[in-house]
Amino acid sequence: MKLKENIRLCLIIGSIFLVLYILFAASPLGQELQLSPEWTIDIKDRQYFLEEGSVAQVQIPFKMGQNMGYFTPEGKISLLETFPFKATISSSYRASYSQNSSVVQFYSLDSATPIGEIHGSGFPFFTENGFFLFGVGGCSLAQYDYSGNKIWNYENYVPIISFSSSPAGVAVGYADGTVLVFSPTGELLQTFEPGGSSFPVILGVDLSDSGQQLACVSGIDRQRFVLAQEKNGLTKVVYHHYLEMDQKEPVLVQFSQDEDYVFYGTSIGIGILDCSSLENRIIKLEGKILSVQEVPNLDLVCVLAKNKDGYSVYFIEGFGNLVGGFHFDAEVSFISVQDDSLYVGKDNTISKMKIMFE
Amino acid sequence: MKKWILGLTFFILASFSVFAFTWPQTDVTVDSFANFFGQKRGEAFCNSLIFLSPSEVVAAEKGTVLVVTGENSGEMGWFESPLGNSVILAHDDEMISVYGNLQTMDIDSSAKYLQAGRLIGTSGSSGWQNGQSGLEFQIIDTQKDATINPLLLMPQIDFYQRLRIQGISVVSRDGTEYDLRVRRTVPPGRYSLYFQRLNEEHPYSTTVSINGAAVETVTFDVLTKSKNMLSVSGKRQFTAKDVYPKGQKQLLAEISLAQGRNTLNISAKSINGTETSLTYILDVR
Repeated sequence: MKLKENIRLCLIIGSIFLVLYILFAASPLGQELQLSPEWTIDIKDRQYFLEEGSVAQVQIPFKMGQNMGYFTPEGKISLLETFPFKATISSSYRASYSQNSSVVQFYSLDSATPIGEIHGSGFPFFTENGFFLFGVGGCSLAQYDYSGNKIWNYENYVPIISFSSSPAGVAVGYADGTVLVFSPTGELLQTFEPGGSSFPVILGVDLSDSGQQLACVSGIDRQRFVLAQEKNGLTKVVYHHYLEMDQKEPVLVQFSQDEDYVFYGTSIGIGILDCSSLENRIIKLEGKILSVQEVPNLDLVCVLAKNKDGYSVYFIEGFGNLVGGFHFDAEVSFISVQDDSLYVGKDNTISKMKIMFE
Repeated sequence: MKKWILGLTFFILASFSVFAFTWPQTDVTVDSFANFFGQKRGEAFCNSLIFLSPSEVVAAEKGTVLVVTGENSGEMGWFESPLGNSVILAHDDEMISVYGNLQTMDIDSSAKYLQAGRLIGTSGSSGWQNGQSGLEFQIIDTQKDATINPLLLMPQIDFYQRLRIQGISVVSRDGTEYDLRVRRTVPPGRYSLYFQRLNEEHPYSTTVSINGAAVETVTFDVLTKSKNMLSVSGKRQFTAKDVYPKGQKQLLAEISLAQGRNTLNISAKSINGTETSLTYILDVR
């Protein structure tokens, strides 16, 4: 009798505990990243070309291998150009050039004929902030306006290894471990030498849009990531972090659009620094980091990395949570993000995927 | 500034006895070069020694691999360096050497240290080149912020470099040009003295004397920064725009011609000491 009562008591207590556990321990399932393919087009197939006379509201630039041009979010090629040597393209301008280039004709988004010329021997580079020319010998840089007139130029004695342009100006990283920051009119604003390594060299650099922050990956033995911020007219290093292994090639460094974070390539993946709290995370990824594209509405970044046998795209949520990725074989690739859609170029195709959390 | 330049030149020449590079490729002769250091290249000074033909390229001196560029070539969003595929080595005494315009690379970014003579790759056509050319080779002193004429630090080779001084002219401050081949009477005043350069030749130094007194020596031994531009040293720092103003002109000196008879002597020297000179007797009135 006493045993039966004990068993009944245990069952009652256990049941109450179970009900309470279900009520309080249960939590809703987290949202998962979903990629919904919308279309894939072959850039060489004329059926995907925009009909003549049609006007595209949005045109997204691409450059893959020896092809460049623009496509629409609806999956139409609005312009395709093949070039024999090298080319440069931005959202509004493009140019192809030869190996002994000294005059570069450039085109605007909708022009089939050149709208101007850049005179100077070297290789041009178009960004969203202007036209630049890297001069012969690899040590000089010039900026031009959108009419092709030279605004300023600067000759250094040592090769340029890294470069960043922003509305605030440009930052140039050199093989002697120096970063020079120029205003949009070519005024030398600051000279920054992060030091801290046996062999100084600036492998990657970025200047934030406001010009208030400068980040770089520098040095060999030992290599480090450095963040400098301007406060009260003075620029000083606010964070530095020695990297696990030296990288010996140019490295991506990129501030987020809101300047809250800075991304940088490492030998084992991607580093992300919170510029306010100075908390740093390294996310292990395979491959060399080539591009970081933000999906602002979703607090997500898409990362393109190049592996020995192709490319990988990774998705990082918030501050440093790897939430997904995929790998594909390709000789050439690019990624671009518009609104909440990811565009992935692979050799001769471009695909669109809608990004969602469900 | 002038003392600094003299000091640097002495340092370089003194260093030659204790620290020298070997040729970055084999079988080097006087005909091996497409461009010499200091020559006009594009709108600027050539800051490299550019070899004429593709060849195997080796490390000119033992050193640490600083950076290998070119692996991002063609990727969207990355700039293209006119050096093309290149390898940069760091050596003792804060010197670095640059091997540009490589077509193939025998090392990659995992390489840490190279011995002198180690194969780096083969030169070709990955960078900016005008006409036939191979390796683009630079030697840089990061302590002195100077690019050094690589021929100063290479083993001397027996070759006779032909140098010709021709097409001498003077240009006055108001832009009036006098061709001294046909006219030896000029007004007194200050002038820029030029000769007609030849693309296949380039003197290591030029000296101008008036009435036996040396008034200017321009030496293409180092390129240093003068404000925003690279410059060579003379009585002042001359930029590429000063030395190569227009067409085929090359600056010899900025001179003052006083009333009377002026004996103008111009000499050009190659790096191995070969000298060519020319003398004009000017009637200045």
